[in-house]
Amino acid sequence: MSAPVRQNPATFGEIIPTMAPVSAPAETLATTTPCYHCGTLCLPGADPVLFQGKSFCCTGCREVYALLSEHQLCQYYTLNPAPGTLVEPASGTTPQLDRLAYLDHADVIAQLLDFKGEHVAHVTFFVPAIHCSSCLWLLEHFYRLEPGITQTRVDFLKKQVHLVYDPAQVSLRQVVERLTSLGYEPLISLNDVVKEGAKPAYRSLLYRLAVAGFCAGNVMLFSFPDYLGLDDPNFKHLFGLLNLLLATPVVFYSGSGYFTSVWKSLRRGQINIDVPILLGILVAYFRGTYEVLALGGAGYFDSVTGLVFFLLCGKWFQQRTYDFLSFERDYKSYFPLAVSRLTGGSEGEQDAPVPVADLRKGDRIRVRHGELIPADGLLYRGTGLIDYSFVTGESEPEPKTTGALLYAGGRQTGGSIDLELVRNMSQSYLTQLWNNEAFSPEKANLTKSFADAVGTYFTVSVLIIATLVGSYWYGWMEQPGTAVNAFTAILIVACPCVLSLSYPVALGHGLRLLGKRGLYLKNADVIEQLTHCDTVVFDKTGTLTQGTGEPEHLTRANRGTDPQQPKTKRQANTGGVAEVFSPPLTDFERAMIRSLVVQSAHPLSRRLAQSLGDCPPVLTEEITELPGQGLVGLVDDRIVKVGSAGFTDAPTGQTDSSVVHVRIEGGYRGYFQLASQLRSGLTTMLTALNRSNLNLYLLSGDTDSARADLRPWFADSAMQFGCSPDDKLRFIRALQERGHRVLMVGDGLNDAGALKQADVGIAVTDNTLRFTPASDAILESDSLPQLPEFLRYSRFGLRLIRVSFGVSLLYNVVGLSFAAAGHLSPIVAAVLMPLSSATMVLIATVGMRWGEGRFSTDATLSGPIRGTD
Amino acid sequence: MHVLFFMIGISLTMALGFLAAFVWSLRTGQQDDLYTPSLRILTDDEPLSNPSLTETNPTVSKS
Repeated sequence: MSAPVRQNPATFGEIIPTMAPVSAPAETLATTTPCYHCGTLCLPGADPVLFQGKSFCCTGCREVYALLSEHQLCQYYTLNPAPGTLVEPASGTTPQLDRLAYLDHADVIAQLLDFKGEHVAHVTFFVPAIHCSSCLWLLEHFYRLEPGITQTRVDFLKKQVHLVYDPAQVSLRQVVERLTSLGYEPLISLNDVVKEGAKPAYRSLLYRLAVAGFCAGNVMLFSFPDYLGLDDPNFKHLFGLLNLLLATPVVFYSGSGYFTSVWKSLRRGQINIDVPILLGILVAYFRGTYEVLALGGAGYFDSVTGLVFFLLCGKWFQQRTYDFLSFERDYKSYFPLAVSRLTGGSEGEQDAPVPVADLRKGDRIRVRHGELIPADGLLYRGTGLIDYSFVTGESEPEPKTTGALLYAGGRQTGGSIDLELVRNMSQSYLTQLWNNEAFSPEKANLTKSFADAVGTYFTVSVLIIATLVGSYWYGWMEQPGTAVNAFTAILIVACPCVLSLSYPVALGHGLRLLGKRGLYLKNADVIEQLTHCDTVVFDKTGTLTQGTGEPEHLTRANRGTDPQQPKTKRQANTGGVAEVFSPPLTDFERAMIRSLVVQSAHPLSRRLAQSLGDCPPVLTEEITELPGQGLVGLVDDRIVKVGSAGFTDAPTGQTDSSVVHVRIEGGYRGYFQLASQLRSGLTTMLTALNRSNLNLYLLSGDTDSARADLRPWFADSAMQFGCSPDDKLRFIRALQERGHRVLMVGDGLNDAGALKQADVGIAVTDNTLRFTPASDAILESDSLPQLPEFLRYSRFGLRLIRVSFGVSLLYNVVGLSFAAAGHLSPIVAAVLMPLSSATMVLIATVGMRWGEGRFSTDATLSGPIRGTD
Repeated sequence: MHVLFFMIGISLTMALGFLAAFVWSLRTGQQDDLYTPSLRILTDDEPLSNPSLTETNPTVSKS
């Protein structure tokens, strides 16, 4: 086929049956047809855009399809049905891309590029819209659309796109604009500039593991003749030398982590679990060296190398975490790279993009729709509608008029506004939180882990036993040779490798199994820290209570984890409001009520207004709000009263705080029952936490309107309202100074300080790809009701480790009896060591899985279990 | 029995070769992303009906 595809629609008809004939009436199409590009259901009544026999929800989606079909990239649509992202139609000369003007700024380009040559430049973008194999395919065939791009590579889990392009042919801005026009807008934040540690951390461990594996395998090979009783002294000597040669890099390169760990702990005056391990390794190595060189013997090289190999395997198992989630985000990940600064006088004012880092107090900036406010500023032109969801978790935008002080971190929705900055970026209300000492990089770990606590006793008792046995052979039996043998053999055999193996294996399993249930831990040690917590502090907004309406761009990215999820983008959010009216409300009455409540800032009014969001406005006059009682106003020349039972003279006994009564023109109409704002399942969770002797506290940046709702679980003194981000941090610190170990559960950026200060900070999110503040763990909001189960499971994991430690002591007793008698032959050591290790791995694996199995039967409100590991 | 010396030499060299191959794969970042290739391999390129499109870009085979 050489004809261009555009003129041959039948080509596509063969692949995908055309959904509806072009001539079908618009009415039937409108109700049933999803958009061919993005899958959004076309609104009833609205005409779908038809093109080549496919229907699209808007011209934006059609443009993308036309572009792709022109470049023969329609395989995009055959890999997955409706894989696209809703694209806002570009009108005229793409004015919405003006905000990308900063990408022409030379400093910005230099900061973003990974590499730049004369004809080749490398850049890596984070593209949140990547969610299926179609995205992958299209982005990796990007070169067909844009000749200046030579190569694209996608990292699917991290949602990163690595682009190689020719700067002589296309500019960085053109590349980004092209991506944006396809619906794959890269998210460029201030954090991209602060690139650190480009090499993944796992590599150095894998190098050491590879060397240890290679050497241990060969050492075992060369030790075999000795096990089988080979007596040729030539070979024995050669094999011994080879073993020594192979074991040296294992001890000093692969095991180098133990040297640094021991050195660090000794400098702090502590003895951790690595001390006896390193002691065992070194004693075995040097005794082996002596035996090989001086006596022509075999040594314990097979045990030593095998031990190091297994220990590193355990570490590796524990380290494989969720590297596609970021636990270290600070405000820089949210903040834009550049903003428009206004220059010139009031006449002839011009705006030019300037990097955020160059902003100073007193600068005037322009913030457009969808942009973030980078620093505190006074609004002097335009009407602000500021969405503080990143900061507080509250997703309803706040209206602001000229003269209002706008805090950094808010996102403007609506028209563009002009601000005059009153503080520098790092000194703003929100960002100064990061100047707190809680964010200093070396936060001392407050809790001493079980392994380190054991390490001290273990080392001391092993040294005592070894000395006693050694002096018995030396003093009483007068056999100095046996004395040295027994002394060193005890140190070798008592090495607590089993504990340091069961630890990472059990915790590593715990990490993965918790991840299946929606709790993603930063590292496996968090499990142990969880068990120490005796106090749980909750943030209210967004954590315990649900954000009211979910902004569209957030629901969108959910499709990455759950492609089957129905697309409910354009459905009205009723917000759990039930109407109890007799006779039922007419549409006009609803419109009247909405027109009244929309004037009030009371939380109940706001929720009511939102649930009645579709109603048209009605003329409203003379509105009076009586605090604590309700609203009264003249709507369409009729008196409408909305509020408490007493205020409206309600005949029913419904005096609940979440009930809103309505009286129109002297006649009582009925009431709205607003469901509790708590996320579903949380009442059970809070009751369970109360029962398990944990201290519960609540911190909220809001007013105390929800106090009554939460009184069953929180003591009045344990609820703090109107907290600033700094207050929250100090509250946690005060609790810790009273000797509590605090688990903080929060979500917004304003909790970032508290999450960091707490012993364990858990960030709750509706979507793991959404930004979360720096924390120890990320919890999917669906799984929040399982929090008591998570705590129980982590305590179970620690008990399991203690039990396996007890079992390993039994092995040590057997080994010690051989060692004390001076008969620890290399083969006994070589058998005992893997045997005990294998037992521990088995106990840890089976035990943690069994504990997780109990989980699903116990949890009455089990969240969705994800199949991905 | 002297063939053993030779065999040991060969076996060690081979094992060292594997080790070097693994280190090379780590260094070139082949272990960085273990998930995306599993998706990539499942999508075949359909033959282009308009070959002129490929001529504009010589690096088609690269991706």
